[in-house]
Amino acid sequence: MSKKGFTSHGFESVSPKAWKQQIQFELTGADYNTSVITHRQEGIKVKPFYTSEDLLTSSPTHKSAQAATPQGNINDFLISFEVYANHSDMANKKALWCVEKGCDKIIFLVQESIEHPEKLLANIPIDIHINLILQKPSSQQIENFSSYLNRVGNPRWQCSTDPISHFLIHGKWWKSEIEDGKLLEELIEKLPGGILTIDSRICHSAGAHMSLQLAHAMSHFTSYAIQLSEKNTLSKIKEVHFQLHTGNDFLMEISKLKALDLLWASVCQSLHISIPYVLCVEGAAIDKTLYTNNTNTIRNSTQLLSGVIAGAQEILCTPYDRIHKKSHAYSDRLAINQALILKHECHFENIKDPLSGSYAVERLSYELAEKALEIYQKTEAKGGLIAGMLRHEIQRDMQSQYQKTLEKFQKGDAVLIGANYLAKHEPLSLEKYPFIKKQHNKTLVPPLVPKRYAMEWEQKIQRDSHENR
Amino acid sequence: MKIDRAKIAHISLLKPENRTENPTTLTETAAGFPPFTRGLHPRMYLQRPWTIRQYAGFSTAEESNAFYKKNLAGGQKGLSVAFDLPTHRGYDSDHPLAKADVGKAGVAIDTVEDMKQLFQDIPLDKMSVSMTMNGAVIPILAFYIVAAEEQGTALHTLKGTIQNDILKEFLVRNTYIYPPKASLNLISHIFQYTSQNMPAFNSISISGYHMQEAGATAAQELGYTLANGLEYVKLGLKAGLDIDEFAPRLSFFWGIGMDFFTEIAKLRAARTLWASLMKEFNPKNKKSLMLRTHCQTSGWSLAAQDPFNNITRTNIEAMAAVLGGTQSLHTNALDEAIALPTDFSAEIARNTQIHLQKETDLCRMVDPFAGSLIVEEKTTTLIEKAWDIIKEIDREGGMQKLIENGTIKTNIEKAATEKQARIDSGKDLIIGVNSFKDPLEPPLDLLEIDNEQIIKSQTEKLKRIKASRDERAVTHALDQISKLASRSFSDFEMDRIKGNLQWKPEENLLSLAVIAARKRATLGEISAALEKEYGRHQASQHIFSGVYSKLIHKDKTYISAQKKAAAFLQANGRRPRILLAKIGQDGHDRGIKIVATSLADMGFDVDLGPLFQTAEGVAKQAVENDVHLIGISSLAGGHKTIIKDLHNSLKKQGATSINIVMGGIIPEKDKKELIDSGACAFYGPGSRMTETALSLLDILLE
Repeated sequence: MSKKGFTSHGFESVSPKAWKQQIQFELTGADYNTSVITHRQEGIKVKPFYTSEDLLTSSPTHKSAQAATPQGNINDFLISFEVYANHSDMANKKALWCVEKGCDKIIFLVQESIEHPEKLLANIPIDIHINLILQKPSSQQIENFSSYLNRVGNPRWQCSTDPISHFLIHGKWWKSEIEDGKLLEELIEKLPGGILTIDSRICHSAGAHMSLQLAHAMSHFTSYAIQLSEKNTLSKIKEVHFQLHTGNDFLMEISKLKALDLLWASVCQSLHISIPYVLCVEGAAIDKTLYTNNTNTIRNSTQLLSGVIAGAQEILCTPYDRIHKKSHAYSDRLAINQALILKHECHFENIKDPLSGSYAVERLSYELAEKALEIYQKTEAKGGLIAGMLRHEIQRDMQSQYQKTLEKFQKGDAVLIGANYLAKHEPLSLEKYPFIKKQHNKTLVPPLVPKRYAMEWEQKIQRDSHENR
Repeated sequence: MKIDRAKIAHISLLKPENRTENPTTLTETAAGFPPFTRGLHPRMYLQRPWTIRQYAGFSTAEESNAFYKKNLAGGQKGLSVAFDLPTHRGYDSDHPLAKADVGKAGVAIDTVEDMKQLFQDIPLDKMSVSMTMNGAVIPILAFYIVAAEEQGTALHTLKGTIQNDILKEFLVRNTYIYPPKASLNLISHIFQYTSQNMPAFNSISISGYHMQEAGATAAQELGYTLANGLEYVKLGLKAGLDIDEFAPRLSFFWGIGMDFFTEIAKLRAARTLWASLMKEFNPKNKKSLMLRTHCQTSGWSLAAQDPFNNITRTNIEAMAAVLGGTQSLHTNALDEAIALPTDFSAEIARNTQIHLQKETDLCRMVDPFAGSLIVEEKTTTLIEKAWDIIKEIDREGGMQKLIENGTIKTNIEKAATEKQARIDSGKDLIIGVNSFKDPLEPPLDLLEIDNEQIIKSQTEKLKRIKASRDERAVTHALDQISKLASRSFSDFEMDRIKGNLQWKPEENLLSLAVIAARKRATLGEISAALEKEYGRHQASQHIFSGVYSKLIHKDKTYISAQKKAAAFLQANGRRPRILLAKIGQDGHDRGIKIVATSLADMGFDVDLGPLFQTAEGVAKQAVENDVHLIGISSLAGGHKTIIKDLHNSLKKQGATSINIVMGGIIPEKDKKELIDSGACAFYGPGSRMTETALSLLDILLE
């Protein structure tokens, strides 16, 4: 044996061209383009391999991976949980329970019935991060919440409202576009150093492809930025919080989140904005299944891992059985434990931006960002996200993309365990209706409807099971 | 300043930071080309995804066969057989030493008839079968061959793997039978036979998995395993084989733990190193340079507490294995820390792989993390560290020598003890175990094996077979095996030197075992025929000190345990004395070694009994050494029988005042019965050693 240190023993380097030729040779006549290249809905071709030749080298470059946000270790993320707050005591109890189980952050979905935050926040340790998202604010509620938070002065306790997200999901405003906008302005005005929450999860749930999700997240922010800049209050925003879903395509999801970073840096630089953003990632809803639902735990771990690797600052825990069950301690705790395992057991403590330099992810994130920028610019050229919703274009685009993906499942080109693969009927106690509820309320525009690819198979399983009975 | 929509049209996209400081040139290679850093095949999973191969087996051949068929219908693609411990150790199910372990941690196989039953309705020419067998490798492989013959399958179509990695058994797993030299001799016979008759069958799977499970670091796992691999290569050459005749059929087996990026890098490093090591043998066939591997998610990282957390752990580990480019994979079931998988838990484990293979995009790209500064740097570092280990082993006279003098075993045990100290001191967190514990976790339905029933049915089957076979033919076949075994291996070497390399079935032990198997000789009989000449290996046990205390000496509980032990010494004139022992064929000794070294560091007088003891032996040693406590470690499900027998033996010796405590995997529902049988305390997986020591002292002070 050689006594010297390790060298790769004179193995010859192989060019990407030779590699590709070897693949073509092994394909024995099959078409390279259709056999090994993945053609994605975003218009991106994913190659079978990437090499250093795929790295982009020309300037201008984006140096900090997350604009103006200090880059920590990837396990520095906050573990957060959404608590529905319709009743102060109950929500407070739930929040305290979440903290005890390991959450660092509570996102309260504050309903209009909660007039004052004091009881909601009773006994919550000061080092816990809070985002009180007002779901249907009134001026009085904003006054109560902002004056309380200003008095407490805990920079970790924040309050926000996201009227556009409400509009996307419900197809209507609380009152009107102008009045809802005013409520947002009031909140920003009264709570300096506040945050802007951009809940963009619905785009993923409604079927949007990755670049569309990113483009609409940017448009969503842009609508607020234009509005607030007109009132000269944009500078009061301390952080922008993007809430995104990640799906099962692990490598592409990492690329998507890194693409958000490129986009954000590019948008901020061009618009002369300097606001750090916080990325909050939740496992997707669209690819979860009612049956064989322990697989949802597996899916969540893949989906959250892509968020962690991409450097998300917040991981939002979601139970595996949320499709059909109301919140309950067992699955809530299991969801929190998933994030705790990612944080403490994966040896991520000294890892920063781990895919920096990755030939594939660097390249694909750029390509996704490029496509997203195109869509974003087109949307904005036509008046922005709301205008697109009013013309029903946004809804149509998402529906068409959802349909294309669904067809892949129907043809068997894509798989969901428990739906179009290894499906079986299991007795389930449904505490919630697991399919799309018909909206009977009048809306201004058709809303973006959250869907799941598995639904048609699940309904078939249910029908078959009824017939067999 | 105002934001103007019109400006948005002019935004141009920034590019990612220019990174030219790639720390290595390794990735200038391509998948499918040596040194294979980026993968064995140019398209990797685009050509063929990894094989979903779940390791399973329990109870009888009938039950395991039904379980396999269910798994294959559920999307599994290959089989991996777990044998019970008596089978591993060369005992038939009716042997008195087998009593506690028959059918517990795997399937009991006594004869060809069991093997045929195991694969009933599973065509062996189509199914890739992996068998974890090392000690009793000759009879098991012979049974497999005869089962295939009698199924009408041609031997050259058989595909799969036999683990056959005896060196690591002496290091960590302990399911050996014969001494190292004799065991290596058997391997060369297997190489000869399989290269001649079973060209598609992997004649060895060199395992790092068990080293990782025993506590080895990633660099140790790499270095020791590849060094073992080199030993086997030399063995093949010594047996007269050409490097290209057997090197392409060598395969490897790694454990994949929770250190996500390190595990990905480990597989890349392993391929690179192996190609470089093998190049020195000047193979003509490129495949001789390839490190093909199976991986298994770590059993050690699983927790008995909150077992559903294990779904997440296993998925993360499985992803690392896939991103590292494994050829086949076993994912652990969520209850595997406490029992054998049930249908329910096995389905989740299998679906983990199906999810990764079919629901995600992991199969769409080769070596997706290549270029990542962290992954490349870790790959390079591991290559260098493992290379240093391999060089060191070479300098010290080779793996066999270091195994025999215990150096490597001690290194691994030290690493395991350090890890335990980090967990006990809270430096490493394990969710549900040393942090975020939940007292209200719901109990799991576990698979229970009725061991007495299995022994009964296996014994009856053995009787039937023995009554119907040609006894004289069996005796003759067994005599032939013993006779050939008595010829020293150097005779074969002489043949090689003389250039007499011809394949002679009558000079091959596996070939003779196949004849014996056809005549229905049993596993115990074939093993005994070899044992007659080779003897049975008995390893010596060592305890080292200072490793645990070094990392935990400032911990409050550690200090109180030391003080309490000192007070005991003051009051009784001697230190608290404990005999730590394992009874039966369960050789998993990582836990008991950690207990021994950490208790010794806290002020206990520790006697560590040899492996594979009988209850009578342990009772006798306890009385002779006048110990205060006996600590029994049981990890293979034999606990009920073991404690009953031990208590009876102590009774016979008039020593029932000695307290029995238990460690290992003890299901909650069995505890009452064990207390009734004489056990007084239990320390399951996740127990902190410091708290265990305090609890033991409390028992003594009471």
